[in-house]
Amino acid sequence: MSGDLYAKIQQNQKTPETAFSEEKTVTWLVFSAGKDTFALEPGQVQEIVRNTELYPLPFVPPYIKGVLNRHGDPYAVIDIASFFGHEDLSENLFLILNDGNDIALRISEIREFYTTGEAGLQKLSDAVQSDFFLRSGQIQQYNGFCSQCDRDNR
Amino acid sequence: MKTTEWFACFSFGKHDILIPRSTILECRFGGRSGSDASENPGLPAVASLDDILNRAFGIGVPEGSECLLIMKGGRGYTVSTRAVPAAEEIPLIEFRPVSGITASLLLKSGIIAFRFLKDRIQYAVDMEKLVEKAGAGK
Repeated sequence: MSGDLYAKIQQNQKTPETAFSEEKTVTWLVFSAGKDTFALEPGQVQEIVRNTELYPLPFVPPYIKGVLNRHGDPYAVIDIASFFGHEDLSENLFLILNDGNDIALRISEIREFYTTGEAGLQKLSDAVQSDFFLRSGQIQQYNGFCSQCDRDNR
Repeated sequence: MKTTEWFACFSFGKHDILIPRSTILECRFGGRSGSDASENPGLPAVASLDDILNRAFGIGVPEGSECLLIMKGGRGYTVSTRAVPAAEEIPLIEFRPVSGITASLLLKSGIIAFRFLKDRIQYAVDMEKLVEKAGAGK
């Protein structure tokens, strides 16, 4: 009898814990490049740089716009609008990535830090762009498409 | 361990091209034009560094005296330029190589490493790969 009561007490101890467990949330750095909206986990971004000089590179793909100098270290600049076949960006705003590939992304604008639940994102495993993106989601206030760049750059 | 390297340095505006001295067999100044040199059976095929950089960077062609670099290497070739040459010994620690996928991309294009000075950039290059890439682009 005391064993049953003990079990009931144990179960009741677990119930509130389950009831109050929160959905896992993820914070994103939301930015635009031309007409498209993208998002990265802030930990993937080392620095946001504005108005820095670009030095050209020879014989590289057209979406690589040159190299920038950050504290004496070179970062190859990728225009992601150009990468996806859109018009080149004219803005001088860059995200230096923290992925060991010495890459900076040329972007149009930083939008905000946006926090959403895991459930708000859909995996893109079967989508055409799954080589570059992991997930997608809707950010209502921008009415746009939010994607996570694949950190492995597959 | 070797901590410095001699380079032949050619300035094109804000960009300096550094060619490792160890890859150069001979340097001739005030020589004949590249086309003349290419017709000379004594010299290997000539690649114009000025034309390559003009195509790759959009850099204007300099107007100095011609300098011919006869390069070492199996196939052998000559690089011609009208940029003013200089010899520089540079500590290797001052160069910044790139890493990851950027490195593999740039090495294929003949860029080995960068060195940033006050308002200019120096590119340490593998001339053989740069010439190959330029040839492939024709």
